[in-house]
Amino acid sequence: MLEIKNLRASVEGNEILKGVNLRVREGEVHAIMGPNGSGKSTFANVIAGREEYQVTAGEVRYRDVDLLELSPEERACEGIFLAFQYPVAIPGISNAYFLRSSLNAIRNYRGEDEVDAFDFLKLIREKMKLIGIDEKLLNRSVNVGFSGGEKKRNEILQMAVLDPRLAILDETDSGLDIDALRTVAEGVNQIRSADRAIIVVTHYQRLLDHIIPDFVHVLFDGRIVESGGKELALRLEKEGYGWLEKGEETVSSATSPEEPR
Amino acid sequence: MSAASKRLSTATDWATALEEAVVEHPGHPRWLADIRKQGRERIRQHGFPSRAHEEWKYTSLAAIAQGPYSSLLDEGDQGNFTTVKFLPADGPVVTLLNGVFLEGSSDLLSLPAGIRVRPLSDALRGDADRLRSTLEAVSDGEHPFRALADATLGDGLFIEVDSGIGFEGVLHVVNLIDGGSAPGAAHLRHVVVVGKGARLAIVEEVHCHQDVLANIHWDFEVGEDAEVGRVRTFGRCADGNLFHGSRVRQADGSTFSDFFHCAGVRMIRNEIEVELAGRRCHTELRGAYFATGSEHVDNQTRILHSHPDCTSNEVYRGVLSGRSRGVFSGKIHVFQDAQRTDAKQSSDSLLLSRKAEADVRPRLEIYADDVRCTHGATVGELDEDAIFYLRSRGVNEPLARKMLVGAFVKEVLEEVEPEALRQRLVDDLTCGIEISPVPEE
Repeated sequence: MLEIKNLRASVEGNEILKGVNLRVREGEVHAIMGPNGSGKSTFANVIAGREEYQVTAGEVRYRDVDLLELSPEERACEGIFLAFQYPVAIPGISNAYFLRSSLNAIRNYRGEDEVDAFDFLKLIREKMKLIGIDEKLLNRSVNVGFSGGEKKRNEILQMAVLDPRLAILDETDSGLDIDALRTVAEGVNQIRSADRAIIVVTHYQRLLDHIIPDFVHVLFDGRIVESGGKELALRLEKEGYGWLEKGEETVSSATSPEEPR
Repeated sequence: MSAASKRLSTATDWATALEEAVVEHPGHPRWLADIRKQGRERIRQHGFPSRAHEEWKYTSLAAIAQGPYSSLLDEGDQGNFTTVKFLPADGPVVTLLNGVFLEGSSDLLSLPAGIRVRPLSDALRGDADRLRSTLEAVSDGEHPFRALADATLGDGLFIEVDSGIGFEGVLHVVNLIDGGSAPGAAHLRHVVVVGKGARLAIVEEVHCHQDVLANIHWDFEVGEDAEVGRVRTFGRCADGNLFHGSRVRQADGSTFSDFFHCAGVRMIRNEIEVELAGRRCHTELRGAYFATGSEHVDNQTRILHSHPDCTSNEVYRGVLSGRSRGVFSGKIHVFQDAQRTDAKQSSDSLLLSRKAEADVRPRLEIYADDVRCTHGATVGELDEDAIFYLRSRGVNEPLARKMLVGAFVKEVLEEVEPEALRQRLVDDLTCGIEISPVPEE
């Protein structure tokens, strides 16, 4: 489904991804772990098509198309979904309007009929119940005044409604208490299926207690330096990322102050 | 700065042209001729202010002063407005073409008893004395468009609502300004007198065709405990120059609300002055506009809190694209006696291009001590993070921009009823966004 070869990307002239290779097949759940500043969020945003990130080399094939040629909206319509690390607040646009616009944009792209307000409400109420989101949030402006947990649940709700083929969760566990973490994980597990792939980007192992990955990759200084099964996550949890730095010449790059969003 | 340099000298011929063009009707009272004469004298004496004049700092009148607008428009051709998408209306309608009442395009039968809508020229022939104090009172000094309106006084409407009449519908006023056969100006004066405890809602729409100057003035007298609301919208006036002025005087316990709405007008100066001339009044002034190309929208509001216990709220939001310019100058004057005044003002501008410009000037003068006055102004751009967020959910970039602009202006119009009208107004403001989505470098 997704095949990434030697992907390099920069932000404002600083190279963040320095040759990432990754292959994701239908039905698989991959976890990408790594310390702050290793390039996790850059990776997620490059796949979603954020234009501040310049791809300088490499190739990304997604379902037999050149993903890098597609605009962010085309990628979404082709089934890629990024759950944001920092969901954006949009005053004046209600959650319902936002989601219906998104859903209909995707349906239009796929040559399907738009959903009307009635069917949409039916669909979204069902999904909200599943994910445990208060229905009141439907008529509130997108993420305006939402708590951290509500924002992340809202991302999962969008994911459930938009029904992606490839979902990327960027630090969706950050800032969540244990209950919220569990509902978010349940939401993800519910959409797990044989024809869908999921990439979970996370700093901590704890989300992976609830979403069991098929593969775990360690991203360090812009490269995937280690890949393995779920037991790799446990090792990282126990030993931290420190062992990766040994033998690395550019330790400072792994502890750069702020991970670009 | 000398007084002379604050004026444009080109306007001196205007008075002569208007003297020839305006015909005194034998049925009109003598004082009407006096008002017209004084108007001519004022335009002759003061002409048009230059940009050195404080009140006209952001808006040049040079093109108007030199343009062909000293001649009056002929009767016009209604056929030039067949492509206009009029607002939805299901109540009484009054249509004016170049200031003249069009009976065939008006429907006043559904007006309840106690509300009278007449051409001003008819009223001036009948119970003219009722109008005299209103028309004389508002004549003032150097204002060029007031002077022109006085010099040509006669076209427009006289709207009266008797005390205690609560009209739940909406009176629809359509002002068509046609410069189809020859460019020129139309000068209109609408006088509205609303009695004690009465209620009136007006929707005014203005449409211009070809190169015109539309000079439209409204005078409102809002009686005790009366409630008056107006929505005014300016359709596509790509070649139009508009002056739209309102003076409102509110008595005890009354409410006045105004929604200004415009998109696609080459040049508009919107002036509104409200005097809270009684206790416990409330004034609501809201505005939402979109400008692109080299369009120019200049808003000047003045709220005069002369009595205690009144509240006012102003919210203006402009969306500026291309090389357009938006101006908001809002004055709040709280007189010494106006204790416990609560006045709020906010003006927000959204720039969609780097060449667009917003000029904001809040002007608060407060002479009472127990008051609450707040003002705020913002000038910003569309949130790129929000655009990416929408795009990452499948919404294309032009539509994402349109949705965000819609969200920005919608809030200003949220109290406009009915919903169909509100949605139409929001659509009018955002329909140009998708076409020119990419901001200029």
